[in-house]
This record gives sequence, C-alpha cells and structure tokens, in this order.
Amino acid sequence: MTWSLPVLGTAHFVPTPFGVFFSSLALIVAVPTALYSIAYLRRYAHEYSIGWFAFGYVLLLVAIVAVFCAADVVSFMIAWEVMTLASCALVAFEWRESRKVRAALLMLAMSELGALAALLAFLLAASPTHSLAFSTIAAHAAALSSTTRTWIVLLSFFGFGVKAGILPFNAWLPRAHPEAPANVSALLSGIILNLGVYGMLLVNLVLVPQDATLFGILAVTVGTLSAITGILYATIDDDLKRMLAFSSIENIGIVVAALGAGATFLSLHRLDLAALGFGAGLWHMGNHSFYKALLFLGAGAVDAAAATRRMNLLGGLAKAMPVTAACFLIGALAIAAIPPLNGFASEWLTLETLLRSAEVGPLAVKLGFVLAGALLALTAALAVTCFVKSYAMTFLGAPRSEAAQEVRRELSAAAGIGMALLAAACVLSGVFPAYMVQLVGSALPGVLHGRLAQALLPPFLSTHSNLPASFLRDFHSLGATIGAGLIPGRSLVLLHRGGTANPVVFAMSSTYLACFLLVLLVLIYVAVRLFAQRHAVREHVWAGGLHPLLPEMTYTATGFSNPVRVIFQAVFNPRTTENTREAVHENFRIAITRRREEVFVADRLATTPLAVATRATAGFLARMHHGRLEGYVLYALCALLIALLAIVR
Amino acid sequence: MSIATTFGLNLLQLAFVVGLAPLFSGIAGRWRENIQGKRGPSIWQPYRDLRKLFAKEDRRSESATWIARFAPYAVCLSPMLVTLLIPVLTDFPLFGAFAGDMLAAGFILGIGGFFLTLAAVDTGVPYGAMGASRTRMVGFLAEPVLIVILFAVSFVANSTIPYIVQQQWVHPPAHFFSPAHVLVLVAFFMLIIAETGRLPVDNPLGHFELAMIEESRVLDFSGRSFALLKWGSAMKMVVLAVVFVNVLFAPWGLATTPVLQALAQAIIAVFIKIVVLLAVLVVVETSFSKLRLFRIAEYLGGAFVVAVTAMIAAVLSP
Repeated sequence: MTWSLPVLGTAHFVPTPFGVFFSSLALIVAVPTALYSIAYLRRYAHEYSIGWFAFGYVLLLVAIVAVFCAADVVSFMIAWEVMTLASCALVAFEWRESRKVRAALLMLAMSELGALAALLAFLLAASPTHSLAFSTIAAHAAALSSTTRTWIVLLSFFGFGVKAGILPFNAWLPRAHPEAPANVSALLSGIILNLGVYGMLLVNLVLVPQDATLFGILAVTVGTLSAITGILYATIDDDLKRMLAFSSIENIGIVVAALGAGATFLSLHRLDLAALGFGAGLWHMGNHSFYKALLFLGAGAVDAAAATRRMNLLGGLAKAMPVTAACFLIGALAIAAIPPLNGFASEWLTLETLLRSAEVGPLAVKLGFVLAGALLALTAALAVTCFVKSYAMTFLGAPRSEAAQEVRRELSAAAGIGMALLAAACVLSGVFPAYMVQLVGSALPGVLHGRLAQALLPPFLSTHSNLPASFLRDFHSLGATIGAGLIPGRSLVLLHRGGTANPVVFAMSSTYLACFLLVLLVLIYVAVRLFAQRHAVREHVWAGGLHPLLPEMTYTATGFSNPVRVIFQAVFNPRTTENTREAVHENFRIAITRRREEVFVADRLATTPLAVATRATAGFLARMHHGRLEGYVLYALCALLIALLAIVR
Repeated sequence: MSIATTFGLNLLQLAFVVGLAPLFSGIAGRWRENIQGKRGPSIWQPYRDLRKLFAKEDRRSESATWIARFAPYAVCLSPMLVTLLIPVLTDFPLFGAFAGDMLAAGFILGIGGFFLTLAAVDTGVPYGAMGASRTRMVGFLAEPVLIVILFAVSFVANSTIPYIVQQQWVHPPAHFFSPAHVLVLVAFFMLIIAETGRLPVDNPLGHFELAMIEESRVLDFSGRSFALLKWGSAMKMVVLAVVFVNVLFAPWGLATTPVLQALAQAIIAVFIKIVVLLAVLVVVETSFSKLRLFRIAEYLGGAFVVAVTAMIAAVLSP
C-alpha cells in the first residue's frame, strides 16, 4: 500500500510475514481487552470522556499495525510517533491526577530519546544508499563500514530497548504501566513492549544482518540482567500492578536473551541453532503478550472490586470473584512456567537453546551461556515465588482489610469473557506447541525462514517423511506417530535431532504431557473416590487458642517475600531510615519505626545520575541568562563583526 | 517392539514407583532410628499410615477453596508424570519418553510444589504461609544448581534425554571416574537433600512449627488429602533417587530386553541401588544438625559452586 504525503514523499506499507506475526499477536490481545474495557471503563464514565478513550485506543491499534507494516523509514517513524503519543495519552487518561500525568510524561520523554537513537540508527544504515526504503537499505547493507555497523547495533539496541523495557532505560516502565487504566496496561505490556523487540530485530536481522556478534553479546548480557533485576523487584513489590510491570521487564529480558543466543549462533554460522534462539524468543514474546495482558486485566478487576492494589490489604477474593480468580490462576501458572501451559513451553525452549552451546566451539560462548542459563533459571524460580505470592495473597487465605472483605461480585460478564479468551490463548499456545512453532518459524525473516520447523519438528505425522527408517521405527514404538494422517501438521513433538551417539538432543511434547496429566488425574481421582473415606468437615483455623484468627495475625505479601529481600540485599541496596526518638517513653524504648525503601536499580544507576547530570549542565548553562545587558550587546556586536569580516574576506 | 509393549512397560515403571515409594520411606525411617540407637517403626509403617489416613474423614479449613482440595492430587501427579519420562527399569525408551527431557522433568516437579504452596496459604493458617515462603526460598536457590548440572550433562552427553545421558557415563568406562561425573553426582546429591527437605536443610521429623520448612505447609491437611500428600512426597523422593542412580550414577542392572526375567532382575537391581542411596542419605541426615534458615543459601551456594566446577571440568575435558 502506498500513500503520498505532502513534503515527506510517499509512505509505503507492505505486510511481511515477520510484521504480520507481530500484528496478529497485537490483535489477539487487543480484541479480548476491548471486550473487557466495556465493563471496566464504566468506573471512569462520570469523570472522564470515554469517547476520547475509544479514539485513543483505536488510533493506538492502527498506529501499531502501521509500524509493523511500514516499509520505509519515514512511514515507520511517523507511525512510531503516533503510537508513542497515543499510548502516552492513554496512560494519562485520568489527567486530573498529577501522578498519572507525570508517569506519562516520563514515559514520553524516555520514549522520544529512544526514538531519536533509533532514527539515527536508521539514517546510518541508509547512509550509503540515499534511499529510505527498507528493501534498498537491506540490499546495500554490505557496503557499510564496520564502525558504522557497530554504531547501528548500539543505537538500535539501546534506542528500541527503551520501548522494549530492558535495562538501563526502563525506569519509566514500572511507573507508567501501573498508573494506566488496567486495559491500557494490558496493551502496554502485551503489545507495546513487542514493538521494541520488533524494532531491534528489524534493524539487526532484516536491514543489517551481517554482523550478529555484537548484537548477540549485548542481547544475552542485557537481556539476562534485565530478567533477573525485573523479577527481583517484582517479587518484593506489594502493588499488584507494579509487580506485573516489573515482571514484564523480566519476560522481555528473557526474550531478548533468547534472541541474543540466536544471534550468537548466527554469527557462528549455525543456522539451525540460530532459528531455535530467535524462535524461542519470539514465541516467548507472544506467550508473554497473552498471559501478561490476562494478568493485568485480572489485576484491574481486583482493583475495581476492592479499590486497592496492595496485596497486603487483599486476600480471600477467590470466593467472591471465582472467574477472575480462575483466569488469574491460569495466567500465574503460565508465567510461572508450570507445564503444560505456554510459559513453560517457551521458557523450556529458551533454556534448551542456551544448553546448545555444547555444540559450538568458543569457550567464551559456553561459559557465558552457562552463566546466563543459571541466572535465567534463578529468574524462572523467582517467578514461581513471585506469582505464588501474588495469587495466594490476593485470592486465597483470609481477607486482610475491610475493603477486601466486602468484595461481593465480579466486574461483569463481558470482563470475564475477555479474560477467559486470553486464558484460552495461554492454554492453547502451551498445549499445542508444535503449531505455535510452525507459526513462529514461518514468521522468521531472511535466512532463518522455515528453519525452525526443520530444526524442531521431525515429520512424524506426515506420510512422506525424510526421516531415517530406523529412527521412525523407534519413535513409532514410542507412540510419536499416533494419529498420523488424522492430526494435521508435521508432528506433535518438539524434538531436536543429533548424531549417532545422541540421536535425540532434546525433546518435549506438552500435548502429550497434557494428555498424561489428565489421564493420571482421572485415575487418582477415581481411585481415591472408590477407596477413601468421602466424609469431609469444615473447621475453624486453629489460632493458638484464640478465636477467631485476626487478619493481622496472618502472613502478608511483604512477609512472604522477605527471604528474597534478605538474600538479595546487595542488589536491592535499600535505604533504611530508623526513628527511635519519638518512641522512647520513660527511659524505655517502646517501639522503633523503621522504614525501608527499595529503589529500582535502573533508577539508581541510570536515570537518577542522568537526571542529576542534566540538571547540573542546565544550571551551568543557565548562568548566561543572568549576565549584564551591556555584555550581551557586546557579544552580539562581536558576533556581527566576525560574521561581516568572514563575508567580506 | 510394539507400542503395546512400551506402553505396558511404562505402566510397570509407574507401578514400581507408586507401589514401592512408601516402602522406601519406611526403610529410611527405620534406619534413621536404628542409627540413633532406637529400634524404630516397622518398614511397613507408611502403608499402615496411608490406610489409616484414607479411612479418616477430611477436615478442611473454613477459608479453603478448591485449591486446597486439588493440591494433594497435583503433588501425586508430578512425580508420576516424571516416572513416565525416565528410565526406572529399562535402559531403552518407553512409550511417551519423548514427552519431556530432564529439563522438562524439573519443570514438571514444579507443578506439585506450586499447588501445595498455594494450598498452604489457602488454609489460612499463618504457619502454612510461613512454610510456603520458606519452601520457595529453598526452591529458587536450588534451581540454578539444577540448570548448571544440566549444562555439565549436556557438555558431556550433548543431550538432555535421560535415556541417552545414562549411556554416556559408562561408554567409555573412563568417563565414570572423570571429575565432571563425580562433581555432578555430589551436586545432585546436595540438590536431592534440599529438594526433599532433609537435614541439614530441613528436619522432616521436627515438631516445632516455627522451625519447619516443608512440613509446615501440610499442617492443616488431614484424611485422604494428607495421605495423598505423604504418598506424593515419597514418590518424589523415589523419582529423584531413580534419576540419581539410573541416569547419573550407575546405569547398570537395567533391563535391556523386554523379557520377564530381565525385568525381574532389573526390579531387584534398582531396588538395591535405591536402598544403598537411602543408606547414604540416612547417614548424612543423622550426622548433621539443621542449618539456620538463611544459612541454607550458603549450603545451596556451595552446591552451585560444585555444579559450576563440574561444568568447567566437562568443558575442559577432551
């Protein structure tokens, strides 16, 4: 599609398989979110204009799809800016609250910085061609010098990294995502972060694919660090939505690390392993879109019902809100990588990709990947802790405040349907991994196109397969070919083949796992039903002899995550203020007020120093505003003189 | 081999784990007492306990939802599912063995833990939530150890399929004594202790709620729910022991052909191997005292260092 624009020339929009994959993810998230919004927005109707919200929502979606289809730099940047402005406007939807406006402005400022860096990367890439069309840039990428390429990688990685929410410029994310209305948060975490990933890949995989080494190293390092810091702060956070925002940093970190592993393998000319890395990254990104949108919608429903997002004040909501609780549980299971849901499938593939460093030569790659793998495993385990805490402290146990106690009902049926649709997406993407891998594989651009299916899906189910006969026979006896001719697709098993000593390198089939789980569950249930005593009684909880158990006596979210706070104190580096003076009474210290505050590491190490430096520079430069008037006149005269002299000569 | 054979053999593996799990915990319990100079209960005591519990009524907390009812099933499900994926009795793969490798098995064992931890909070008892929080602490500290062990394994075997890994340590036999192998064993042994909540990490026989880690999660379960929880944790122990003895340590004595005699021999051999491992575990358990809660981080840090050394040894060995 081509539009001619005044002044700027023509804008080209060409859907590629790569862009279509991203746009379809966006729409899969956007439709259930829109359904949910019908019910959710009612709470704003008396104060804010729903019409403007709808306008912003649709404009945002159009801009997102335009970004994914843009085929030249100008249309890309225009669509990108519209997207940024629309998303900031939606974050600041409740514009009467200054906190929300400030969060939106911070997001806008950092996004624009990122966009500038990205624009520079595009212009550098386009420098040898004098054309801004992506196809021309890609065709002439070989002509770029290696210094230029380094700059392109750095600028595009950190520029788009701002939007993707990875370190070091992600301080806006944990502020803006929780402040937006929940349906906007769902879009921000579910779709907008993907745009950053798209931009990174567009520049480094589609336009300038030659030098993947630097991109690989950067992406693995920064991705892993973002993942671990993101989940650490998510685990200790008390605010349900800010916890989800931090966890988005974690998930995009995992995605970027997987992409980096792919790029590293690409630079070592292992196309099959590269396809695994990029495939795992994109698949995890899609899965994250589904479950994070779902979780944000669930958090919004909780917020709307209990009027608080603090987990310390929630609890026991599963009885009043069974649908929200069930959907949130599916999201929590998925994000905690519990089989057979989608988070498990893609996180498993990510770790398997890192394990494949066994096949490549360089020692640095092996050791680096082990370190990354260990940190990502820690991340995955902390994610379990984080979401056990969030679900349990929000929906289970005793309500810890009156607000939580008085919750009586769900948001509405439409909201329930919206969440259920996203939950279904989580289940389907997890239980049918082979089809997802095929989808993702066909979206991979350039040399990787179609390689993922080749590396991961042995054609067990197709009638004409190129597998060795003995291999096929072995797997026939294991049951992998059950349903050949009936079930569509190549295979239900993800399996990477090796050599003679290791015919199978790794294999997994969450389809089969799901079947086994169901069968075993039914078996145990029937056996218990038949042979065990069926009588059950309800009892009060024992409270050390007191009755009833008071909410203050139960465990809180803060208490639950305290081991994390203690063990990772070096990372959190908390500010502790202790106040003992006021509480001293007649020589006895009766209480100590201790306040502990953990500042996000990106704030501490990147944003705050940057802000301080900027302010200092501005302060220094501002001195020239307050000089003597005669002095300025003199400067002007001198400048004029010099200019005249220069012209006359 | 036909699908029916591999399917039947996998059911046999399942029966072995499900059926003998209480016996193994009975043997360990008896020996633990013996070492301390007591006579100890009969090795069949866990079966009697299970029968008693299944016959009792299920007393539930008022605040509990369906999660607390479902969690005991999940705790039983995950070791059973892992049993289908690992070589318990045979050294050739069985029906559905491709459904998950060792990494996936690690995630699968998480199913039970996830639901039990939720259920502990669900009962509404403060001790439950405390145990949940502490178990998660041990859980997230153990995870990096597991992945580094898997890295070491895949640097040696270039595969994470247990059926293929077990072949690598003994072909050629020199592999068996390689530093990588020995260190992997040490690290995995330390992991088993942490994952199954034994001394020095946790004391399964403790009676003081404030000092408990895993046990305080199940304080408010009774009747059939408690029976399933006990059975499930016994099965988890057996599954980890099987991975240790059959995949990582000594892949001998497994049936190489699907004939009755070979299978009978395999059952005896695997039984003996697990019992020997239990003996070592019991000796370790009775010779250490419990670590303070935050000292567990140091213990698992030690396990991590061992695993990393194993990995480096695996990388550097030709």
